[in-house]
Amino acid sequence: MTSVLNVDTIADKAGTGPVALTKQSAAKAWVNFNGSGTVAIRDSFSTASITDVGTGEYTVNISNAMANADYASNGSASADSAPSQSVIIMNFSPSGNANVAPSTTATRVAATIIGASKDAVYVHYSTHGDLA
Amino acid sequence: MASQLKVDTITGVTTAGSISVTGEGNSTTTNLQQGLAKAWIKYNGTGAIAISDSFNVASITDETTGTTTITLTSSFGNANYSTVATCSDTGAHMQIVDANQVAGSYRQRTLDGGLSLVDDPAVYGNAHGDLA
Repeated sequence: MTSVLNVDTIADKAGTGPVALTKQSAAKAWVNFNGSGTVAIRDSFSTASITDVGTGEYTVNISNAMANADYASNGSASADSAPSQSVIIMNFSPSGNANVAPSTTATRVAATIIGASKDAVYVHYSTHGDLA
Repeated sequence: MASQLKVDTITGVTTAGSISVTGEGNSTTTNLQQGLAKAWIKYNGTGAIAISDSFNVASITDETTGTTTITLTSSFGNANYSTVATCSDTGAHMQIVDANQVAGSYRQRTLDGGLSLVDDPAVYGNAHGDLA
């Protein structure tokens, strides 16, 4: 017989801590945004805003802070429908030509083609890790 | 004593598709459904392309060299979900998503260092967003 549990919130037995999802982990934030022109979020989860730092360079600001800066971020991008789309580099500033350390609430995202920064029309980003 | 709940399905009471879970830091709640990957895939993009393993993927279509459309079993509610892709090959290939993304499918492309489309033997992708 199948069983269904109807609840609004799941916490540990004490009522204040996390529960384990057996051998699974959920993303803590994700976003799909237009990085060309005026940056605009199309859809997102736990993403407060996107900062347009410069050409092909953005900061994803997370709503619910992570516990530390060691979370995993990944992303993909597309400049247009031609095969010269941007690729994403995490925690790097093309304008400063230097790494940018992530914080618990922000990650620098760079969209580039080979050797040059380029605004991307479609930027996709997700984060996995522990919440604060 | 640790407790374990065994059920087949969990549904929200206030909103069927929304359940909050307590975060790892014991202070923040996060939405369970929003954090779950709604689809993921690993496939071989060379020769007769083939899915190695996947979740919520109905099929993949070899569009042309280095270009694959991933068709989902359960569609997203719109085209604004976040997709992230990567690949691995000794040829230093890079994986991008492109603008051809709709609720029921999205397209990934593999480029080599010269930005030419190329097939890759190990391509990965995942998608986060709101299901229909």
